[in-house]
Parts: sequence; structure tokens; C-alpha cells
Amino acid sequence: MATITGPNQSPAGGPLELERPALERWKTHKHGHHWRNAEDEFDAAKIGIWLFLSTEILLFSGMFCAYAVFRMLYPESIAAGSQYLDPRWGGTNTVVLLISSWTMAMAIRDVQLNRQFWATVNLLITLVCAAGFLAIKFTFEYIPKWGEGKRPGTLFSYPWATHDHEHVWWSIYYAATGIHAFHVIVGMGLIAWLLYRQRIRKAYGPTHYTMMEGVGLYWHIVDLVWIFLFPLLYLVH
Amino acid sequence: MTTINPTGGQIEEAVGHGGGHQGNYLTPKGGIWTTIVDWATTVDHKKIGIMYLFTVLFMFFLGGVAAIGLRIELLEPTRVIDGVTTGAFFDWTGDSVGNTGNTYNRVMTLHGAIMVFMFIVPGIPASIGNFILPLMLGAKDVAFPRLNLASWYVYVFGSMFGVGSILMGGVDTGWTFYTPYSTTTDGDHARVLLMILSVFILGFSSIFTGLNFIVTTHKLRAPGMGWFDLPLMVWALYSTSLIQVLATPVIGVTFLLLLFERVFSIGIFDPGLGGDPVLFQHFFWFYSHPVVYVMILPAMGIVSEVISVHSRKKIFGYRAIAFSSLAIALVSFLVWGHHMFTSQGELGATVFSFLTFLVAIPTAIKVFNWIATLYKGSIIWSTPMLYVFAFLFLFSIGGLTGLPLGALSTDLHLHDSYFVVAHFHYVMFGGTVIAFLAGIHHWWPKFFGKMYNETAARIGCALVFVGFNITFFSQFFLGTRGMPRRYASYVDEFQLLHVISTVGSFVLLLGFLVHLFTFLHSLFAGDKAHANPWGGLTMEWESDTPPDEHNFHHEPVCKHGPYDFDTTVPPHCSADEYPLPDAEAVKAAHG
Amino acid sequence: MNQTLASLLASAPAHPPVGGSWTLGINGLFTNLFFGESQGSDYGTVAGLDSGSDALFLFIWYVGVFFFLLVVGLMGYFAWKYRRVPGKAVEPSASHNTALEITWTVIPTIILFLIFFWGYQGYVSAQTAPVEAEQIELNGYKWGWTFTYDNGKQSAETQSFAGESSQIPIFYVPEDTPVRLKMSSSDVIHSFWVPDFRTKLDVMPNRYQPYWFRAKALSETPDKLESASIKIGEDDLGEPIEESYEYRDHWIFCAEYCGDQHSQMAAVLRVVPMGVYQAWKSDPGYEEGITPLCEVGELVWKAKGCNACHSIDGAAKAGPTWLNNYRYDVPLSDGSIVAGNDVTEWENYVRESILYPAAKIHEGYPNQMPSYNGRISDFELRGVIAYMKTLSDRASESERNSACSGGEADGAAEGDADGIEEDAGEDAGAMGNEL
Ligand code: HEA
Ligand code: HEA
Ligand code: HEC
Ligand code: CUA
Ligand SMILES: [Cu+2]
Repeated sequence: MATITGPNQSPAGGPLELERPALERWKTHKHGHHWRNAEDEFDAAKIGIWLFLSTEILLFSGMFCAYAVFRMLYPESIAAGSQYLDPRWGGTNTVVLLISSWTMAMAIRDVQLNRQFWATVNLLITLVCAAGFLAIKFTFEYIPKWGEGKRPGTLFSYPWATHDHEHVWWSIYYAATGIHAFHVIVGMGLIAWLLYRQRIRKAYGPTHYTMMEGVGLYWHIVDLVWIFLFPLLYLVH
Repeated sequence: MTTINPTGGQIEEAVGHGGGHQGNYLTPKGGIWTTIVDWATTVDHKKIGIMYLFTVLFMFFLGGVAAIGLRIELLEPTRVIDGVTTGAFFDWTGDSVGNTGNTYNRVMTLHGAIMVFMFIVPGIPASIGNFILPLMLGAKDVAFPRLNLASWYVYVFGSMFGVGSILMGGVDTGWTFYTPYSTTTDGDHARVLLMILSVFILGFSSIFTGLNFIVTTHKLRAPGMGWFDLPLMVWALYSTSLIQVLATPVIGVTFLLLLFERVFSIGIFDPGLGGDPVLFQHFFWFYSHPVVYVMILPAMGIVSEVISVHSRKKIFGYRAIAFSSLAIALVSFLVWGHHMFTSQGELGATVFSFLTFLVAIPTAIKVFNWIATLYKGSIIWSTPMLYVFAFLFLFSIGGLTGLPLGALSTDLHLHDSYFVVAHFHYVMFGGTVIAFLAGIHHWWPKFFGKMYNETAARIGCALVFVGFNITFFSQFFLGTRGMPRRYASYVDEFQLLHVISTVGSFVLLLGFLVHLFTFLHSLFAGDKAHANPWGGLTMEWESDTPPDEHNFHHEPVCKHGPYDFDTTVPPHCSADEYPLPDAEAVKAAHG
Repeated sequence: MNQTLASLLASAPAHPPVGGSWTLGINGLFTNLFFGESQGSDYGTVAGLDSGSDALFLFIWYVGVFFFLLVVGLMGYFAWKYRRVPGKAVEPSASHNTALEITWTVIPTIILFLIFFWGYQGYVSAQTAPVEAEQIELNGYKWGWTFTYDNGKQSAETQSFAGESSQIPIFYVPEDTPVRLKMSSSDVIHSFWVPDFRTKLDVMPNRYQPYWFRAKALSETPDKLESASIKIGEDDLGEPIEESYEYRDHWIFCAEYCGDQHSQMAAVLRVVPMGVYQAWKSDPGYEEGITPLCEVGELVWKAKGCNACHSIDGAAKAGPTWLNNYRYDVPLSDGSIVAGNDVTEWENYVRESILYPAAKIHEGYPNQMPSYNGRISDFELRGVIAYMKTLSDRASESERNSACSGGEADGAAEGDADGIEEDAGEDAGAMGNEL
């Protein structure tokens, strides 16, 4: 973009690229001018993404530490709290996320093999699964629980609480799943953006799929975090 | 001062007159608006570095002004005698009579938060590091230039939140935001929220920079440049970046929880609701201890560079220095509990005390290596080198006074006293800021192609050194004699030492004004700088001064180590200026 | 501490220091430098803790001085000796030396481990209190301390020290006796620090923290004593019999940042002989049914820390002033008003404000007040109400008189003998007045 010289000229002197949406951009993708070659650039992007993911993991470890501390402080309240969760919904959501992780991986594979149609289909399924996850989370968990007064901290007003510190449990629950849900939402945005780039801009193909891979890794981490959250919150009493 | 080196000089000439690329990265691309837009949208690491330099120094100025305010307030203990308030400098802020604590605490928090989160953490890496790192590696830019620009914008955005909360009346939590105080104070105002958000956002900018540096170091080294050919500044920045990437997310989640706590009272840190305030302290220090090494490691990198170049001596114990940076980075994650000896259990305190002493060892190693580097050097007393001497002097004091803080029984007395205040100013100011100044003076010609007035700079250096010692050495005695920190007022017996400290801070201010003057003078009326004024061997000196927009005219190749002063004539320099010793003698010495 | 106030720094010491610095030797010189002349030479033992923290500090100081001089000395020497001579080639020298590098790694390591162990030992002895100790409960709040002795006594004594404008509360402890403080906070984190004792501990809102010390016998610190007298009984004519005694003061500071008046949480720990301590402790300060209510209120105002937030002279502090509150309209934050002309409503409002401060909030004062529910007796509550009445210029003469007549003015409901109710449970016994 930075090299566009005239108002209607691409660097090559032809008409501005924006006017040719059908162009298969991935074929002409050039590495950034400060890279020696495309491999270096791809490797760099991958290291970058892994580093970013490690920050994500550390972010959630903070949450897990908080969980562990309160489990130690108030074992009964936490156990009682987790009884309120329905492992069936949690389980369904686990399955939904696992499917989405698989279709995400497939989408990358499709792009690498230049099966653009299937890539689109797989991305769409991923997106739908993500939405499904949130829908289940909200309609069957957040909204009814909130309505019953099972809320965090001072907002807690559940009349039949059996333990003193159940509100702490709900704080942990909402904070952990809330931060996770936020990541799902961000992930949906990223996948939608991939879809746009893949379908309309034809930006990805066998020789260029860095962002696909990056978002894919991100999505797996989001999935992985849920794989930890699910047993900790729903199953361990 | 135009010594034409066979290669460097000619290329400069050839390109300089060849149309197309004229001038350097600073050359305006057009009128004022074009230039502004160009800077605002630049992905050039050099311009981003310069923008960071100015914003960060501006924050330092803000923090410094606040510090002077604190010192004036502390000139006299506040007293209300027969209805008349004395010694309350902050009274003019409309604070309730006889209770200057209110304003003082806000100014104190502002000072600490600005200095830590907006000045010293981004400080060296994002300004000097950004500019120098790709040049040292022989790269055209950092790995992710747009992320780099984003980092600056995020930084500015985050700082605006912080400064905004100050303009709205300030925050009085202290830079440590201890719960439950921070979750309850100013309950009906959004200011604390803004400040928390500010730190949260600044974290992203820190992560972006760190991530960028790590990848750049891995993937953009010049051909022939192995890990042990890296300048030590690069090792230091690399270790720093590791900490930034690994520790910042934890402060992220901590401040997120703090935010929830304030907005929804979720009760995780609030003892009233069954939460655990000490958990917050653990989370906070898990980030904030490693972060003190984010402050000092780049400073150590600068010292390694400057001491070697200005004494024309191969750095002593290259590997020891490189690995001790990594060791510091790793062990720094294990000692956070030494800030909490008075609030945690016995077992934790013991373990953390032990680990604290472990982390002091690699630092001691570095200090000895630097001293050994001076041995048989050819030492020039330039401003950067004077600052390095000041660094060794002050940082030794700062580090050694960390020891009684790390020892359990003595810390019970010294914790949260002015002894701690003196300790961390000696390491943060005496260490990091002093090294920052060394770095700014060392690379100033590289940045702007101008020289500064050496005499004025040395006077500034002397004033800063003397002023600093007067200001903060007195505080060690305040601490051991029982003066607690974060006190707007105090009992009479402490006054003399406080007065001394305040006087020192004025000398310090004077020193900085001298520097401000030399910098401005150099920018507007400085002499053109020699392409390699100090005879440095690291790759940034192979580029033009100031560098071309794309750093190098053609891809540089690493042909010699960064500190091979006894076998290499520095680029752009002549062998007359920097005569080489006899090859046999060199062999014998290193053999 | 005795002379701390008339400090050796700000003004001339009240007593000549014991011996000049030079007679103390090099250790004494440095101890004086760091800890002040008032400490004498055997620093830290004022607390009788023998945690050895002073000795360790000095040891680290010497180590530090040694390495500092080594580093800076070599630096200066090299900087001068090897300063640059233009045109002269450098003399090549080795860029590493394994033996040297191992030496300078191992020696600091050994020293550091030594410091660690020494510090650890001192820490353990500072943590473990003897079993037989005088128990005192300490409560930290914004912004003050209350000491509750084992018989329920709380101290209401304050004194204005040289230079200090405000009245500093004074807490009594016996000399040469282990004292164990059970510390808790009613709001945020505070930290209890007696610099002379060389140790501090955070005061937490969600758990008890133990702090112990044994104040050195008074006879061991002859140069730091001051004297006062105490009433030990009455003679046949009802005249008080007084006995004079010596005491020693130590500063108490709050070392954990806790808000606006963090720096005003200073108090004084007064070390007195055991007999004086016992006599002082068993005097509750008022006798229920005899002491006039308004005096009880004033005592409460001082002893329970109301004075930290409520002035009686009209000055605005963290809470509304008590001057001219009675029979004036009190505006509430929800816009309503406690009408000044309705005495009962006002009395109920005050009572409620003390027990449940969050219930009704005075306009313009964010609720910072801790609840005193369970920490204040009904008798004391009536005392506060009476006291507040006397502070209003709209109180009639008869109201004033009844507020300050004998405590039985409106008939005590409670039968318990001691004035101050304890924190729930414990031995909140009525052993007070019998002693
Ligand atoms: C640049 C930042 C920086 C650096 C580098 C350090 C370095 C060290 N710090 Fe410091 N520290 C802070 C910034 C820093 N600190 C801050 C900001 C706080 C306060 C935060 C707050 O509460 O607001 C703090 C507080 C702090 C505490 C908590 C005090 C308290 O609140 O009770 C402790 C306790 O262990 C401590 C210890 C140390 C130690 C052992 C080192 C070591 O790494 C030092 C190692 C260096 C040397 C040892 C000197 C050089 C070596 C020689 C001259 C050779 C000879 C050496 C030997 C023989 C050992 N620091
Ligand atoms: C990088 C970190 C840093 C730096 C540099 C400083 C610098 C200074 N600090 Fe800072 N300080 C902290 C970090 C820092 N401080 C922190 C973290 C705290 C703890 C806060 C808390 O408890 O929460 C603290 C607390 C603190 C206190 C204790 C407050 C208390 O506990 O009650 C005091 C008191 O004297 C103080 C004083 C000073 C002074 C006089 C300076 C002086 O050195 C300042 C000198 C600077 C100037 C006067 C500015 C001049 C600049 C220009 C003129 C601009 C031009 C500049 C160039 C061109 C280079 N500081
Ligand atoms: C931490 C500071 C603090 C302390 C200590 C404190 N108060 Fe208060 N008090 C307040 C504040 C703030 C208010 C106003 C907010 C409110 O109405 O709750 C208040 C309100 C009151 C009121 C209502 C008066 C009015 O005009 O609205 C009474 C009565 C009162 N306090 C009594 C006491 C007594 C008695 C004590 C001690 C036993 C005490 N307070 C200790 C802060 C404090
Ligand atoms: Cu209480 Cu500071
Ligand atoms: Cu630390």
C-alpha cells in the first residue's frame, strides 16, 4: 500500500489494484521490503504469533491462579457453586468448540491445497460454531443464572445460597468465562475477516496463508482454554 | 571533521548526489502537512524511535515536575498551629485545610505511575532500542513495522487515559494500586478506572514492542551474524523483551480483575466480600518485579556498548554478560514476593528472600566485567563515558542497598520506609535514567546528525550526578531512622534530612535544564556530526549519520565482532585516528 | 524516642547524648548515622528481640562499602591511568579469564548466602512470640489505632508533642514483658511499625496478624526516660494519692499507604513499669452511672478514633463536624433531611450512623466510616449523643445540664459492669473494674 505512487496507479503502473477484485492476490503476494525472502517473513510471523499466544496463555494462567487460590480458601463454596452449572451445556459447548477447531484446521488445509470453495465452507462452519457457543452460553447459562440472582460479588442475590462465599465462586465463574467469551468474540471477528479476505479478495492460497495459520493457532488456543475451564468449573466438585 | 573512509565515504557521496534518494530519513518529504502526515503514518523504526524518544522524555518531564512538587511539600512538616497551617505547599490546590495528604497522595501517585508506566518501562527499548536494534542487526526495519507504529499509538492513547485521569483530579492509590484501598477510594469517580485502563492499555504497547524485538533478533540478523556476534545491547533488549512478553499479560489480567472489582464489586480482592487482598499483591508483583529488570537490562546494554566503544576495548567476558542478561530475565520471575515480606507467611518469605539473593549474582558479574573492560583500555572522558562512570557509581549503591531489603530481618524494619525510596531511585534513576542519558548522548549524532556542545553536556552531567546524590543519599538515613514512605507530613526530627533532599532536587532540576538546553541547541544550531564520532564497530556505525531512509545502501555483511577494536579500523574512520596495535601482540593477548 | 521529638536533627537534643560519637567506636558511629543518636550504641535491642537485625544491617553495610570502594576505586584508577592518548594504539589485553571470572562469581555468592541465613534467623526470632505474653488487641482504621487491653480497657490519652500540632494518642505497655499484639484492620491495609523495635507487620482487614515485642527494661535506658505520676488510690479525704514513675516513649507509624491521613496515623507507645501499667489498665476512664454522659462521649471521641474524622471545632475532615449538628438540619445524600427540630429522629439518626454508617449518608461526605456495631456499648452511644448535644449552640441550657449530669440521667438499661463491650466472643468479660 505504501508504495502506491499516483492516485490511480499501482506501483507497476497499471490501474489501482482495488479495481480488480477477482485477481488471485495470493499468487502475486510479495514479502515486505525489509525481508530477504518470503520464508523468513513467514517464519517471523509464526514466531510472532506463538509469542502472542504465550501472552494469552499467561493471561489465563492468572485467572487459573485466582481460581486455585479461592478453591483453597473456600473449598465448600466453590464446590457448591460448581453444582449449579449444568455439565451437559458445558459439554455441548466443548463439542461445539472442538468441531470448530477441526474445521478451522481444515480450512487452512484447503487453502494450502487451493480448494477455495471448501475453505470458505469450513470457515463458515467455524464461524457458526463460534456463534453457537456464545448462543448456548448466553441463553442457557448467563441469562438464566443472572436472572436467578447468581451474580458476582455484591450483585449476588440468590436467595437459596447454602454457603457464605458463593458470590466469590460466581465472580470467578463470570470473570473466567467472560474473558474467554470475549476471546471467542474477537476470534469471530478475525474469522469473518479471513472469510472476507479469502472469498472476496482471494488473498490466500498455497503460497500465502500466513494469516490463516495465525488466526487458526489463535482459535486453537481459545479452544484449549475452554478445555481447561470446562472440567475446572463444571466437573470438579 | 570529514575523514573520508574509502568505502563509506564514497557511497555516501555517490548516493548523495544521485538524485532519487536524497538526504536521510529526517529529510522532509514536502511541506509541513506532508511531513506531519508522513511522520504520523510512518512505519520506519527510526522515526518511531524518535517519536517515542520525545513522548517518553515529555512524560519524564511531567513526572519530574510532580517530583519537584513532592520535594517542596516535604520541605517542612505540615502543622496546624492555632488554626494556621504551615508547611503545606499543596494548600493552593484547594485541599482541605491541614490535610495536604489528599493532594500530596495524588501527586505522589502521578509521579510514580508516570515514571514507571509511561516513562521508564517503554523508555530505553522503545526509543533508543527501536532506533538502534535493526541498525545493529543490519536490518532494514523491525520484523513488524506496522505493529511498531501501533505500539506508539497505543502508548499515546494509554498515556492519554492516564493524563486524563490526572486532569480530572488525579488518583491517590500509589503506583502499586493495593487493594482494598484502590477499589474503594474515590468511589464515585471514574478516575481510578481511567488510570487502571491506562496501565492496561500501555501493557499492549509494551507487548507489541517486545514481541517485535524478539522476532527481529531471530529473523533479521545480517548474513554472517551469529548469536555471539550480536552487540550486547541486542542481548539486553532481547532479554528485556522476553520479560515484557511474559510478564505483561499477568498485569493485564490483574488490572482487568481490578477493573471488575471496582465496577461490579466482584469481591475477588475485597476482603469485605471474602476476597483476598494479598492475592492482588502477588499478582501485581509478579509483573512489577520483573519489570524492574525491564528497566535495568536495556540500561546495562547501553553501558556495555558505551564502555567498550569509549575505551576502545573488547568487552570483557562477552558470554558472561550475555548469559547473565538471560539469567536475570529468568530468575526475575521468581522473586516477586520480596516486596511482601510483611504481609505473607513465613515459608514464602524465606523462599523469596533466598531467590532474591540469587538474582543479585548475575548483576554483580556484569559489574565486575565492566570494570575489567576498562583495564588497559584507551579511555576517553566523553559525556557518554562520564555517564557510564556515574552509572557504575550510583547503580552499585542502588544494587547494594537492595541487599538489606532482600534480607528478611532487616527488611522488616526497612520495608515501606524511605530506605526503599532511596534504593529504587538509585537503581531506577542512578541506573536506568543515567544510562539512558549515556545512550542519548552516545547515539545523539546517529539520531540527528548533529553534535552537542561537549562542555555544556559535561556540566549537565556533573550537576545531575551531584544533585542526584544529595537528593537521594539523605533518604537512606531518613529510612533507617524511621521515616515511612508516602507521608505528606512527618515528625520534626526528620526535617533536616528532608531539607537536604529537597535542595538536591533543585540541583538535579538545574542539571536537566542544562541538558535540555544542550539538546535544543544541538538540534537547531549543532555542528554536523562525524559519521562515526566515537569509532564504534557495531553495525549502526556503518550506515550514514543520520541513516538513510532504508538504513543501509546495500545489505551489510557481518565481517567482524562488535568489539574487535584491536583488529578493526572503525567504519568511516582512518587508521591514523584509531591506530591498531601490533597483530602479534593481539594474538598473544587473546591466545 | 524520648528525645526523638526534640530531635537531634531539627533542634538541639533535650538530653546530652551519651558519649560522643567517637567513643562509640566505628560500629557506634555508623549506627548513630543510620539510626540516630537516640538509639545509643546497641541498636535494635530496645525491642529486646535480639533479631540481630542491627548487626546484620551493619554487616551488609560493611560488605557494601567494601565492594563499592573496590568497584569505584578500580574504575577511577583505570579511568585515569588508561585515559586516551590521541594517536596511540591500545595495548591489547585478554577479554576473558576463567579463574578471575569464577572468583568473582563465587565470592559474592558465598557472602550473599551468608546474608540470607543471617536474615532468616533474625526473621524467625522476630516472628515467634513466647507463650506467656501480655495480649493486646490492636485495631487499625482510617486513620488511627485502637488498643484494646485484655480487660476491655481502651486508651483515650493523647498528648501534644513538640512540633506536632495534633494530639497524638498514647498506648501503654509494660516494660521487659513480652507483649503480643493481635492486629486487625477495619478497612484497608495498614502496617504497624515501631521504628525503635526494627520490625513492622501489615495490619490486614481479613485476618489477624501477630506482632510481638519485649520492650527493654527502663533501667537499661536511663538516658531516655521521662517521668510522670499516676493516681494509685484515694486517701481518707477523697484526695488522690499519686505516685511518680518513669517511662519511655516510642513512635508508632503506619507504614502501609492508606489514604489521605496515612501520615497522621502516628501514635506513641509508652513503656511503663509493670505496676503502673496494671494500675492504669484497670482504670476504665469513666464509671458507668457516675461519669457524666457528655464526658463519656468525649472519651469515646478520643479513644475510639472518632476524632480522626470528626472535628469538634467546625473544621471539615473526612466526616462532618460535630459542632452544631444537634438541632440543625442534616442534609442527606439522597436529598432528604434529618429535621433538626425532631430530637428523637436526630438521636436515632446518630445512633444509626454509628452502628450502620452506610444507611444514611451525610450530603457531601462519601461514606468512609467503619461500622462500630459491636465495638461500642449502649452507654457509650448515649455518651456520644450527649456530647454532640453539648457541642451545639442550639442546645438549651437544661439539655446541656442533663447531658452533663450524672450518667444515670435516663436510667441505664444494661447491667454489665464494664464500660466497653468487646469484639464478639473472646473473654469479653467484666473483669475490668474488679481489678
Ligand atoms: C531498576 C530497577 C531495580 C533494580 C535493578 C533493582 C535491583 C534489586 N532490588 Fe529493588 N526495587 C525497585 C527497583 C529495582 N530494584 C523498585 C522500584 C522497588 C520498590 C517498589 C515499590 O515498593 O514501590 C524495589 C524494591 C526492592 C525490594 C522490596 C523492598 C521493600 O519494599 O521492602 C527488595 C527486597 O528484596 C529489592 C531488592 C533488590 C535487589 C536484591 C536487587 C538486585 O538485583 C541488585 C543487584 C546489584 C548489586 C548487588 C550491585 C552491583 C554489584 C556489585 C557492586 C558487586 C558486588 C556485589 C556483591 C558482593 C553482592 N528491591
Ligand atoms: C524512573 C523512575 C523515577 C524517577 C526518574 C524519579 C525521579 C524523582 N523522584 Fe521519584 N519515585 C518513583 C520513580 C521515579 N522517581 C516511584 C516509582 C515512586 C514511588 C511512588 C509510590 O510510592 O507510589 C517515587 C517516589 C518518590 C518519592 C517518595 C514519595 C513518597 O513516598 O511520599 C520522592 C520524594 O522525594 C521522589 C522524588 C523524586 C525526585 C526528586 C526525582 C527527580 O530525580 C526528578 C528529576 C527530574 C526532573 C526535575 C525533570 C526535569 C526534566 C526536564 C527539565 C525535561 C528535559 C529533560 C531532558 C531533555 C532529558 N520520588
Ligand atoms: C474513617 C473516618 C471516620 C471515623 C473513624 C468515624 N467516622 Fe463518623 N462519619 C464519617 C463519615 C465520612 C461520615 C459521613 C457519611 C455518613 O453519613 O455515613 C460520618 C458520619 C457520622 C455521623 C453522622 C453525622 C452527620 O452529621 O451526618 C455520626 C453521628 C458519626 N459519624 C459518629 C461517629 C462516631 C461516634 C465515631 C467513633 C466511635 C465515628 N463517627 C468515627 C467518617 C468517620
Ligand atoms: Cu494506615 Cu497508612
Ligand atoms: Cu523487586
